[in-house]
Amino acid sequence: MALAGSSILFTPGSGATFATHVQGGKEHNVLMRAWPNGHLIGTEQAYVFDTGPSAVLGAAGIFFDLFNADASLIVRVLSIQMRQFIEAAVTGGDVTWQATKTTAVGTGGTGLTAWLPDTGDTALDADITARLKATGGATSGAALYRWSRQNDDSSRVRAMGLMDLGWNRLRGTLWLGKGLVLRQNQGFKIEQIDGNAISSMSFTVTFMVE
Amino acid sequence: MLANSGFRKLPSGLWAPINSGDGVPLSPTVCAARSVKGTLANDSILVTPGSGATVATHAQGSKEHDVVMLARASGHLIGTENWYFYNTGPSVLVAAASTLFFDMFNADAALIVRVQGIWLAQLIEGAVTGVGVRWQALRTTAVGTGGTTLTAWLADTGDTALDADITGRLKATGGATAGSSLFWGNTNSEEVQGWGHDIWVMNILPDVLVWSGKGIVLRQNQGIRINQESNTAVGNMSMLVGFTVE
Repeated sequence: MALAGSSILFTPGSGATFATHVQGGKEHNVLMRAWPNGHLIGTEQAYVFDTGPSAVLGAAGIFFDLFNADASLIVRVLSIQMRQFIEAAVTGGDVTWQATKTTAVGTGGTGLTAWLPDTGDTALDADITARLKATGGATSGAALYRWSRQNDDSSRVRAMGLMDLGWNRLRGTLWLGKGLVLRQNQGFKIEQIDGNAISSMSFTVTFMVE
Repeated sequence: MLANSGFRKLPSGLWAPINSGDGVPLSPTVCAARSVKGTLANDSILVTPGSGATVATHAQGSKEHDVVMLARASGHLIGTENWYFYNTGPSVLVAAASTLFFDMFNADAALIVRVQGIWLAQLIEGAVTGVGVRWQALRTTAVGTGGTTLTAWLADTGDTALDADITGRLKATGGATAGSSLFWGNTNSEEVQGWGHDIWVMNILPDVLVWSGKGIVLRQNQGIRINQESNTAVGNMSMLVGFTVE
């Protein structure tokens, strides 16, 4: 550990009151962190879509999609967490998943309601929607990335299943603030590339709107 | 060095820590500063010292570096938050579906609770034929009744004692009216599934809410509950719920 080893004398002015904190006889500037959009970290309007456990698809298809149809609001997806549920002795297999941009809203399936970490925040705009297992729409744009999961109950890979509880599947450092940006008429979906109706999966997608 | 080990690979190929130790991510600049080797400040500005206020600096490379402190959006210095934890301790799973295991509630008119972490510790202490167990976190609109009242422990006993309007229970038998579903998770009580023993290391809250400090906000007459959704009496579970109050 080390305290600030030196100091500089400043002549206080007047008018603006600047936050500082005294430790060891020295004034320390106190900073608040802000997202690149200027909003203070911790005050962002955050929303979460959670699919809840749902059986993995027996054929390739859309598991989850989110779409922004608003002309002015910008969605920044900051976290994609998947939680796999293997609750019985099953002979599983490898399932490949893909995150893909979309150019149209998904249709059919089950509409999801976002929950707000802070109910004091503004309700989610109706133009921003998400679905579980859309049966149409959600037209594919650019493929973003793929990964795979194993759903055999005895698989060593399953040992990592618990990690899915917390791992953010968003790539790079997008979670630091840039996020996966969804402008008007942009969305993304999580596709199941391999059909394999064993076990259940749940996705938790956290995003902010500005 | 593995990815997700708490370090980030810099463009230079060096590894640097990605958070400050309390889950708060560091900027790439700070990461670089903390790497074993990296780039020192390559420029400087001369400042004419004044008088009166002693501003903390630290000299490295013959340059004075401003030493700052970070604050949450609430204004509280990071690292000075009043942290409280409810620890249920081990408690047997229940042979009934959708059973309330833990709930906490904020009945205070002014205080705001931010739930910052939920850790599930599956306790497997014998050779058993276990199963996967589903858990669900939900909001609540009423305080839980009955069950075992929990006493929060403080990360720093020098902090303010937890307000009496903020309460937590193990296996409440009434109240804790369920609101919206938040998210689900699962554990496994089979002893040969090694990961069941390790799950306690994972904070199961949406990660962005953790590192931003926003948490799940409980205003007056709001709470959360965690249900054991699967019907099984095999094994024990212990939950740890960490939160701040402002």
